[in-house]
Parts: sequence; structure tokens; C-alpha cells
Amino acid sequence: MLLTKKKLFFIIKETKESAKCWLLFSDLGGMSMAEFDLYDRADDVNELLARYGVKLGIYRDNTFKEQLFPFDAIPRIIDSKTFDYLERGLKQRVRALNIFLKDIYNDKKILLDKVIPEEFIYASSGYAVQCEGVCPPKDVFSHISGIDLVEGKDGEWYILEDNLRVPSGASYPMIARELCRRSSPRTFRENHIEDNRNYSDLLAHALDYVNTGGISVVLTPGRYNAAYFEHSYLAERIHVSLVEYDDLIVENSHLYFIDYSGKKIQVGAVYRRISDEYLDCMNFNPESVIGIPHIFDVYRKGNVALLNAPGNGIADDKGIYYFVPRMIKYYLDEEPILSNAPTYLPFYEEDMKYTMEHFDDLVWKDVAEAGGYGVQFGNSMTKQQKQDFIALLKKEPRRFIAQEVIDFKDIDIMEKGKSVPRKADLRAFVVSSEEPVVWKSGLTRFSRNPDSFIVNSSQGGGFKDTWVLSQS
Amino acid sequence: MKTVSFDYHLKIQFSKPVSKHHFMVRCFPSSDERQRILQAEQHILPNEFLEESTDSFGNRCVYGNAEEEHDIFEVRLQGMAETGLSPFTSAGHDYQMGLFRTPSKYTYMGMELMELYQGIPLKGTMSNLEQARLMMDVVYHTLEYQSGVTNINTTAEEALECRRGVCQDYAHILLALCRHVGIPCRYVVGMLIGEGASHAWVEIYDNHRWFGLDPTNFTEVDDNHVKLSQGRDYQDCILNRGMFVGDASQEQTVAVRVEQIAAPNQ
Repeated sequence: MLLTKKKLFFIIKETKESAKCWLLFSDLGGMSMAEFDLYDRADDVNELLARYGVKLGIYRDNTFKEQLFPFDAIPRIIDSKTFDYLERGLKQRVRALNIFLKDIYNDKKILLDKVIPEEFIYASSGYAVQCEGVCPPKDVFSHISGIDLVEGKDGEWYILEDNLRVPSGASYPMIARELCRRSSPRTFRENHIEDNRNYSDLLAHALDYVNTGGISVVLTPGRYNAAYFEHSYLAERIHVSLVEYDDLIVENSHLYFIDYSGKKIQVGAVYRRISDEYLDCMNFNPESVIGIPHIFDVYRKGNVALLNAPGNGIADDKGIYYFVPRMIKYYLDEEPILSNAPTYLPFYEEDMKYTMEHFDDLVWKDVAEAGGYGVQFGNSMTKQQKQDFIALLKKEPRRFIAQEVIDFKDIDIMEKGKSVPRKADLRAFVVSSEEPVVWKSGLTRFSRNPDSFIVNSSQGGGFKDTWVLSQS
Repeated sequence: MKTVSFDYHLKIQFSKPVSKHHFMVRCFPSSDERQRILQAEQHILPNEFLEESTDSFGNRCVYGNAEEEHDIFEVRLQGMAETGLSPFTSAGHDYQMGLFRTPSKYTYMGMELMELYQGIPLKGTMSNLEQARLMMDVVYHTLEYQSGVTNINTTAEEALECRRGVCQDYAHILLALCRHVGIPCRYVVGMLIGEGASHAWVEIYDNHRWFGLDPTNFTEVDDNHVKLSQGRDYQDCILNRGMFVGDASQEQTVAVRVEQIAAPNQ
């Protein structure tokens, strides 16, 4: 990281009255952050974000609550050299995952060559039998990939998780940057920060590229979805209609949007922000009332593109994660550029032995869970919990993975007028059309709790903008 | 080899009119090496909008939507087929069969199944088909055929617990046992000469071929069987899936008739 004292960038507010006036100091000299009262300024941005409805919905005890997604004004800064490296690694990874998806639902060569044991495919909840034999338009499966990384204290970057189903989060750094840019044009004029406004172009192009004829739409389950803000924001940015299930119908093996006047307009690409399970009650969960009956049949016939492709859950399964470096070698004949966090599969006897010996040093993950749930630290379990867990593990070894606890590099956040270190990860967005493109920004999430390693936004953390520095 | 006529009639009577009725029907036989469909006519009512597609298992499906109010939904299929043309159909490679080797929702091994399995004298030298035949023998002699005890949601383990069931249960138990020893196998829905409802049996993968076994009747699948669809278990072969708007109860009846007809003069 090129984060020297001289190059520290800080955004501060000039006067209290004009919340939108920001200044950038590229040389702070010996001053500390606290002196600039940055915490107070962050409140102002948060107020603007609240006004724009940048919220996050959470279901707790069966009730839906919307809460703000707190923004922290200190950006994560990635220098251009580091970003180049991440970019190469991410492209490579997404390319391999996409080939894997095509292979697993079609020829299954990777099973023939025994790179992955078949039980990791067919017993996985991410595997969708409906997708057997289906190739999406232009063979793109993962149009929008959200890859979660962390930077270790050793300066190494590790992949924590791949999200290839409906990864969310791009809208948050987009709007935060928009507000900061509006507030302080100078910051972005005088510093070499990569412009992140092209995300909408990347997304729009990804839709156009696979569109089978007709308009593109963003399909949302509705305003009671955790990421509804993002759905509406992205639809607006890429200039397409935001639709719900009853705006779309299937007829003559095609999908149509019914506009306000009742006119039917053919749809060629759906950026669907609804999971496979609820997509089509005729082909997936029969109880779903928020999907479009028969849409999957239209897709199967090649008459509409769905972004991301159904069935992608098999590639971001926590059990499959272990095999991604092997996939890269197998499909691309390349060495993986980015490493996984050291992971063990108790499914393999030697890994079971190792993990039993080092139980307390490891973090245990249930492959069936997501969103920071089903994650347990060996050293924080009680004796009884540990006993029960091991019994379950011995019974269903395929269900769990164990990882070394990575000592993340902390990032400062402002809290009560002071800068304090917190754990943070980075969700990088890779948008694929002809080629995968890595967005020169990303979502940095941090944990509110100083002792927590779990940065998932469903569990109450906040976010930061991610600045990628351009070559100066 | 036989030439048969078949008549499949599915009817749903709603207690009150329903509308916006989406449906997906999966009961249309296809020609393969074992059977040749000589002629088939399908009638679906209401038929405001009908489309065809093929699912992941190669089954022909007809889906559609009836917006208008209706209180009866009917699917009728009539035709002629040549059956028993071959004892098997061709299959893909062993490494592509994992899907049919992995326990599915209905075929998980529980205590009962494990106990049953342990009493079967399987030998390592036996082929898949030989092992499956032996297991079919055990299943047939363990279960007593009785309808009304199990239902469409009963798993192999549950059916075995009560030692009684119908063709669906016989098939699920045999599938569970075969998968337990690593034999790829699939669930088949079809029609049988002399049987008034749809029937279910099993296909066993053996050396790039699928062989049919009918554990309910303790027989190999022959020219009395007309196949309609296939999948991992009952769930993949659901004959009719529907969703409608209306506060109505529904009663579904299926009437099937398969008869041998005199072979035409050569």
C-alpha cells in the first residue's frame, strides 16, 4: 500500500451550515484525524444517504425492519499496483468459475477427471437440477460476480467467498461517491482516484450483450427486500424499468413486460434480484408467488437472458470454494493468482485429522448457510457446543469447512470522534460480457463490534467507499 | 413386442371456479429404443395458451395458463405404441450419472433401510443389474401392496417402516438401496397393461445402458409397460403442477387404460 502520511486523503467539511462543502487536504502534516472532527462530518453524509433512502432491510423475529447502512468517511485506498494484481486474479477466478458452471451442467469433464468428488456437486443445495443441459445466452453464467477478499496483516490478499447468485452492494459505494463528489469536486479533481461512475455502463453492457431481443428490465421482489434501495437505484442508473412479478408474463415462448397502458413489450434480458428458488413456481419452489410462472422455460429455450444464470449456487457453495484453485489449474492451465484462505475439508480423512487437532484455532462454516450465519469460531464454543458440533461433523462431514483465522489488516473508522481500527473486507465486483471486467471500486464493509470478524452487512456493520488510485 | 393402445385421462374438478391457472403437465410418452409411439393425440382443457418444452431429464412437458374462470381441468392423451422393442435404452457415461447415484429427497437411507440393506447377500462380483435384481427380490418380499397407507409425500424410509405401500414406495425403496451401493438408477412413471392408474418403476444403469425393473410386480420391464417420464424420484416426475387464483378445493382423478391390439398384418 502506498499509504504514506503525506498521501493521506481526508475529506472534511468546511462549515457546519453548508453540509455539502467539502475540502480535501492532501498533506495533513502532523495533524491527527480527530482534530478534524471527521466523525461529525460522517453524520452529515449519513444524513444525506438516509434522505436518499440508502437503507438495508433486515428480517428479525419475523418482522421487517429497515435500517440505515452506516457510511464511514475514511475510504479504503488501494494503490494502482495492488489493484492491477487483484484485477488479474479476479478475472482469472471468474473466468474459471464460469467455465466450471458450463461444464458441470453439461459435459461434466471435471468429474471425469476426478478434480472434484461428485458428492460435492449433487448433494449441494446450490446445485439446480433444472439447469442440467442448459447453456445461457453467449455462455455467460456469472454476469455480476461479487468476490469477497480480505487483506491479511502480512499484506497478502485472500479470497473469502465467491458470490455468483445475486450479489448485492455495488450501489452503496456508487451513491456514497456520488454524494462526496458533489460535495467536494476538488477531492476528485486533484487526486488520482479512479472514476467509479462506469459501473452502470458495465452493467448496461452486460445486459445488452446477452439480450436475446427486446428490452431489459430489473426484477425486484419488492420493497420489503433487504436490497430494495439497490434494485431501484441500479434500474434508474442503467435506464431500464424496475419491475415486479405481475409486470411480466410469458406468452408464445417469450417473456413480455406489460406497460402502464397494457401494451406488451418483449423482454430480452432480466437482471433478476430474486433467488432461483422463487423465480418460477412451475420449475422451482411451487409455493412462490413472487416469481413469473414459466419464465424458466422461456430461458431454457434461449428466448430470454437471466442475470445471473439460475444454478450458479453450485459455484459459490462453501464446499466448492475449496476446489476453485484446482479449477483454475484444470480449466485454464494457470497457477491461481489470488489465494483462498487456508481451508480444510473434513470430508477428506487427513483434513478431518488436522482439524480435530487444531479445532480451537479454526473457524467453522456450515456450507448450507450464508450471510454470516452458520459461522463459528472453535475457540468460542463451550465444551458442550463443541461436543455437539463434533458429533454433527462426524455424521455429516461434507456439510462443514474449516478455515484458518486470517489476521485481517485493520482499517480505521471514525467512532465518537476518534479513529479506531476495525476488521473490514472488500467485495470486488466483476462484470462479465465478452470478458470479465473488474470495477475500479468496490464495497468495503467493516464490523461495528471491535471483537468481531464478521463484517456481513446483515449483521449490523457499516461500509466505506473504496478508492482505487490511478497511475500518477 | 406388442402393439398397444393407450388412453390417459387426468381430470381435476374444482369446487368453485378458479382463474389465472398456470399449469405444467408431464405425461407425454416419447419414442426411444424400447418403445415407439405410433400415434398420439393430446387434448388439454382449458387451452387458452399452451406451450411445449423439454425438462432436464428429457421429459416432454406442456405448460400453459388459463386466465378465464373454469372449474374443470382435463388432460387426455390417446394413442398407439409398439412396446418391448428392446430390453434396454442407451445411457451416457458413468461419470455423468452422479445425479442418479446421489440420494434424493425421497431416497435417503434411514435405520430401516440400513437394516434391510444389511440382510441382502450382495457380492462384489455382481453387475449393477444383478445386484438390483437381488434387491428387487428383497423389496418385493418385504412390502405388502396396500393403497391408502402411504401418500405422495412418503419417503422410502417411511414406507419401509410400515412395510406397506404402492408402486411409488416400492420404486423409492429400490432406488434408495441401489444408490446406497453406488448404482445409478432413476424413477420412471408410466402405464401398464391392465392397470387403471399410472404406474411407477425403476431403471438401473449398467454399462452405458438403462434396464427397467418393476419391483411392485417383481418383473423386468417388458412389453406391458409404456413409459411416460423419468427423474431422480417422484418429485421430478410430477404429472401435473398447478397454481391458480380461487378459494376452491380440488379433486384429481387419473384413469388409464392400456390394451394390446392385434398386430397389423405384415
